[in-house]
Amino acid sequence: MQTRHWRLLFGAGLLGSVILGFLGDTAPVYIWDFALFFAIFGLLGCLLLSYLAKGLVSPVLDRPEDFYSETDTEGDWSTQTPAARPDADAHRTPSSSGEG
Amino acid sequence: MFGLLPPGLILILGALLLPLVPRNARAWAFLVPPVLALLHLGGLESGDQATWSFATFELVPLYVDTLALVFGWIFALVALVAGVYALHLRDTGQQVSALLYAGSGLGAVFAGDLFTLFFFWEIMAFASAYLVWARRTEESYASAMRYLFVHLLGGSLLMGGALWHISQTGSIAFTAFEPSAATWLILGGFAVNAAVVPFHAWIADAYPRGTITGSVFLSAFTTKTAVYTLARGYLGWEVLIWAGLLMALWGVTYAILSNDIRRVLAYHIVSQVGFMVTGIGIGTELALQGATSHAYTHILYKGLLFMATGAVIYATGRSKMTELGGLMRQIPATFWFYMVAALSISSAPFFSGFISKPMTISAAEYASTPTVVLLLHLASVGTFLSVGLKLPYFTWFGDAPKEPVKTVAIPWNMYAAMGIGAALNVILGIWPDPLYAILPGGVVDFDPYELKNLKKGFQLLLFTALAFFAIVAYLKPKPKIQLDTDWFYRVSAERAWNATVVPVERFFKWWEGASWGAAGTVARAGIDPVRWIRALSGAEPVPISSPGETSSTTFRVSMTVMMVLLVGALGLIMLLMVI
Amino acid sequence: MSQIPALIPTLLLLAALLSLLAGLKSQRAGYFLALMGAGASFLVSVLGLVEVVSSGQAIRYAMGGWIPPIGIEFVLDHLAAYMTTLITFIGVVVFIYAPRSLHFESPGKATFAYPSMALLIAGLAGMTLTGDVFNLYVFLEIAALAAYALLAIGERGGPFATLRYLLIGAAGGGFYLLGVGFLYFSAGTLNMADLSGLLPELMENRAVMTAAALMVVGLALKMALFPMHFWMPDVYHNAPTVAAGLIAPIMTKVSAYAIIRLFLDVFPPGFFTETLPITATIGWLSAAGILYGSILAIAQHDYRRMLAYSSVGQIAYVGLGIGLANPIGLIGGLLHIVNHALMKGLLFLIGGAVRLRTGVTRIPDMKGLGRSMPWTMYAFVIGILGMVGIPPTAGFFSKFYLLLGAVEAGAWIWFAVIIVSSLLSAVYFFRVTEMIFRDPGEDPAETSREEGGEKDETTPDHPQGDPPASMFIPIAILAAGVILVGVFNFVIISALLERVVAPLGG
Repeated sequence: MQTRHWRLLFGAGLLGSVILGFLGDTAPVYIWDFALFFAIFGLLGCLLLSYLAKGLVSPVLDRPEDFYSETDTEGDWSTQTPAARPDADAHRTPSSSGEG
Repeated sequence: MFGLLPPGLILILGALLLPLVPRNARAWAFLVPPVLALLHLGGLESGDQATWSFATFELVPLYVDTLALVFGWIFALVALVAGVYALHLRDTGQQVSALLYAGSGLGAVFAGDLFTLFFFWEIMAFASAYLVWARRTEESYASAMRYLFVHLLGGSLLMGGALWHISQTGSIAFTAFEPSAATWLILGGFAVNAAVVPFHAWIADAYPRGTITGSVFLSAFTTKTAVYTLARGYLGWEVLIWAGLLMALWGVTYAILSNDIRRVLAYHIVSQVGFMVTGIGIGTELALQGATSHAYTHILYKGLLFMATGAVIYATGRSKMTELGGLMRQIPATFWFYMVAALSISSAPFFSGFISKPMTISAAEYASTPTVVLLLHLASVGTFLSVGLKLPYFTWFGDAPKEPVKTVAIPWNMYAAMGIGAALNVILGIWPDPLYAILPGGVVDFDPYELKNLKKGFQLLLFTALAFFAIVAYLKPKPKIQLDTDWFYRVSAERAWNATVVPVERFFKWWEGASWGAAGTVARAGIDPVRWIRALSGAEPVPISSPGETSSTTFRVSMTVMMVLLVGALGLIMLLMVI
Repeated sequence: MSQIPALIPTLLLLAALLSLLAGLKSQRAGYFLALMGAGASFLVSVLGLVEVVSSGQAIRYAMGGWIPPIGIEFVLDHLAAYMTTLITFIGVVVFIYAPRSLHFESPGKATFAYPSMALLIAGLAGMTLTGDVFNLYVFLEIAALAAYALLAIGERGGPFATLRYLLIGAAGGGFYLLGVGFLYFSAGTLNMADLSGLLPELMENRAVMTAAALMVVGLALKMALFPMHFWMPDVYHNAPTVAAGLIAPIMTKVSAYAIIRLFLDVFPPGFFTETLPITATIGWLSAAGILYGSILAIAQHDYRRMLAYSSVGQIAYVGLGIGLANPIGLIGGLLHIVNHALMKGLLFLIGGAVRLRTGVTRIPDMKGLGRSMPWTMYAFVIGILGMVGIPPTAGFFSKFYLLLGAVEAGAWIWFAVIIVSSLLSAVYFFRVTEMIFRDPGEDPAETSREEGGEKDETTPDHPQGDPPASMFIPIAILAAGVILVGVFNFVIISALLERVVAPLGG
C-alpha cells in the first residue's frame, strides 16, 4: 500500500522535474543549460560513480575488516550502549512505536 | 557581553570548572558556556581586536571580522546542540574534553596571530583525540594515538612554518599569505587538519571509532577550523582548486564503498570539505561566500547526520550496514531526522544545503573552467548516492540482517537535539537570509530559488535516485574496508621501527661491547707485563693465578678505566687536532 | 646582605655535618637538621635573587676576607642567582619527599643519605657561586663524592654503576683540573673576573687554547654530552629515587652551567666560537644527542631507563643552546635548565611514588594507574605535556626560544632536529600515558559510562591510591612549577636571563 503511493509520488516528481527543465528562460550559455542536462547527468553520473567505486576501486583495494589487526573491526559498541551487551535491557519493539 | 574576551576562553574556562559541578548536573552545566558564548558573540563587532603583550611579541588573541564571526556563531551553536545530544552522558572526561575542543576551535578562528593560533591548534588536537580514546576499546586506543600523532605532526608543520615565516617577514600576524617555502609549510599543517588528500586518512580511521556523542563534536570543529584558516591565509591559491576536487571525488568514492555507517560519513566529510577547499581556491567573493556558507550549513547537517547515526548505533548496538536493515519498523523517527540531514547534504531544495553548496558551484561557473563545475556536480551526485540513498536504504529498509536486531530506547535528549538540528536545517533552507547577511564580502550575488537552480536541484537528485533504485543490488554493502593512504604508516610503522630504532640500538650495543672488549684486552695485557716479555722471549707462559684478577669487580673496574681513558683521549685528540 | 653568597653553601655544609652527627643518635633529628639547612639555604637564595634583580648588581663576598685574586671570591650575579635558586629549590622539594621514599627503597641507610643530599646540594650551589676556577673544581668533587655516596645505596646494580660513574666523573674532573692548571700557568690567576681581564691578550696562546679544550671536555663528560653519556642510563636505572631526583634535574645542568660561565664570563667573546669551534662542536654533538636520546628512549621498557635516555636528549637541548651561541638561543638553553629540572624531577618522583604504591617499575606494568593513583597521574600528564613541549607548559617555551635561535642562526638542521625530537618524545611519553589511563580490568561494567549510573571510584587492583602527603606535596609543587614557569617565563627572561646573555651583545 504505502510503497505504491511512494512510487507514484516519485514518478510524479521525475516527470515534474523534467517539465521544470523546459520552463523558464533557456538561453543556453553553458552545456548544462540544456533542459534535461541534469536529469541525464544525475542518471549517468550515478551509474558512473557506482561502477567506478564498485567495479574498479573495490576489487583493487578491498580488504577484510580485520586487515590491520584482529581487534580492529569497528564493531565493538559494548562501552557505548546497553544495546551491545548480551545482558542488555533490550526488547523487541512493536511496529511503529517503542521509542522515547 | 564580556568586553573583548576571546569567546573560546569562555568554553575553556567552563571546561576547567566543570568537574566542580555535581555529577548529575554536569551534563546540564555543559550547556552554559556555549550559551554564554553565543550571547558574547552578539556583542562583538567586525574590527574588534584585543592585544596581549607576551615576551617580545604583541599577540592578538581576539581578531574579529565577518569571516571569523560566521565560524564563531556556528561553532558556539553546534556546541550547544551537541551538548543537548549528550545530556545523558556521565563521563566527565568526555564532557571536559568536548568543551575544551569547542573552545579551542573558537579560539583558533578568532586568533589574529600565528602563536595564538598554534596554541589553540594544539589544544584542539589533544581534546579531540581524547574523544576517540574515551571509547576505551583496544582499537580506539590505537586509533586515538594515531590521530594524535598525525595532528601533532600537522602542528609541527604549522609551528615550523610559522617560525620561519616570522623570521622572514618579522610579523606574527595571521593574514593572507604570499607564497614562500615557509607559507607552504604552514599550508601543510592546515592541510592535515582539513583532511586534504593524501593526509586525510586519519578521519576515516578516527571518527568512526569515537564515542557516540564524541564524534558529533569531532565532525564539527577540526576540519572547519582548517577551512577557516585556509580561507584566511590562502584565498585564491590555485593549487587548492585541484586539491579540493581530488578530495571531493576521492571522498565520495570511498563513502560509496564503506560499510560502517559513520565511516561513510567520515569519508564524506573529506568530500564536502573538498568543495570548500575548491571554493577557497577559486577565490572570488562569491566563492568565498559559498565556501563559508557551505561550512556553516555543513556543520549543521553533518552534526545531524552523526547524531542520527549515533542514535541508530545506540539503539541497535551495531554500526555496519551489513548488520543493519529493516529498521524502519523499530526506529522510524530517527530515519526522518536522518533524511532531513541527508537531503540537506545533497542540496535538495528547501533544505540548508541547497542555499550554500550551489553557491560555490555558481562561483565556479563564473570564475573557473567547465571541467571544475562538472566534477563538482559529479561529486554532488556521489554525495546523494552514498549518504542520501545507500546509507539510509540499507539501514532502514533493505533486507533484515541474519541476526535480528534488538533495539533499546533512545534517550529523549538525543531526539531533542536531532529535532533542533533538523529544524535549523529546514528553516535555513527556506529562509537563508540570516546566514547571507553575516557572510563576508558584500551582498550575496546568488539566489538559490532561481528557476535554474531549482530545476537543477530536483533533476539531479531525482534521477540519481532513479539510477540508484535500478542498481540497488549492485550497491549492496560488503563487510570490507578499503585501503587508503594510512596503509603507509599503519603497516609500515612496524617496518619503520625495525628500520630506525633497532639498528641504532644495536649499533650502540655493539659499540659499547667493542669498547668493553678493547678495554678488557688492554686491561688483561696491562696486568702483568712480564707475561708478554716471557712470551716474546719464547719461554713457557705462566698462568696468572691471582684471585683478584678473576674477580669481576676488579676486572670491570680496570675495563672501565681503560674505556674512560680511551674515550677521553679520543675526545681530546679530536679537539686538539682542531686547534 | 653581602654574606649571602657564602651563606648558601655554608649553611648546607653545616647542616650536612650536624645531620650526620645527630643522625647517628636519632634519624629524625638528622633529617630535620638537613631539611632545615636546605630550607634555610633556599630562603637565602631567594633573598639573594631578589636583591640581585632589584639592584641589578652582583653581590660579591671574599672568603676569609682575603681579597681576590689571591683570595677566593663568591659571586652572586644573575646567572648564579638563577642557578642557585633552582638548586636549592629542588633540594628542598626532594628533602620533603625523601623520608618515605628512602624508608621504602633503602631502609636503614637514610641516616647517611640525608647528609649526602645536603652535601650534594652544597657542592652544586658552591659550583655556581664560586668566582674561582679552581674552587669550582673543589665543589665539583664535593658534589660528585656526595652523589656517589647517594647512588651507591641503591639496589643491586647500584654499586657497580656508581663505580663506573665515579671513574668517569674522576676522569672528567681530572681533565678539567688539567685545564685549570694550564690556564693558571698562562694567566697567573684563578679568579674568574681577573681572567676575563687578562685572557683577551692571551687568545692566541696555545696553552690557553688547550686549557679551554680540556676544561670543556671535562665538563662535557660530567654533563653527559653525547657521546660521553653512557654512564647515565645505568646510574639512573639503579639509583634510589631520591638520588635520581637530585642528580637528574640539577647535577648535569650545573656542569652545563660551568661551560656557559666559561663561555660568557671567563673567556673573551669569540673565543668559544671563533678561536676554537667549541660551541659548534657542542652544538653538533648535542643535535646528535637529542636524536639519539629520543630514539633510544622509545625502545625502553623500564620507566627509569626511559627517563635516563630522555635526559640525555634533554641536556642536549641545553647544549644546543650553547651551540647556537646567540642570545635568544642561549636564553632557550638556560630556560631549559630550569624547565627540565622541574619536569624530570617531577617524573622521577612520580616513578618513586608508583614504586611505593605498586612496586611497579616497568612501563607495561603501569596499566591502569590512572584509576588507582589519579592525582599523581594528573601531575604525570603535566610533566609529559612539558616534556613534549605543549603550551602553556614550561617545556614548550624553552623549545620555542631554541627554535627562534636556530632560525636566527640559520641552523636549519638543528631546527628540524628540535621539531623531530618533539614528535619522537611524543611517541614514548604518550605510550606511557595511554597505558596508564587504560582500564585495568576487563569487566565491562567498569567501563560503562553512558547510562547515567553512579560509578564506584575504587578499584580492586591497586587499593592504596595516591602516595602519602610527604611524597605527594613535592610532586604537586613541581607540577605547579612546570605550568607556572611556563606561563611566567617571560618574567624570568626579562629579570634574569637577558642580563646573563648580555656579553653576547644581545
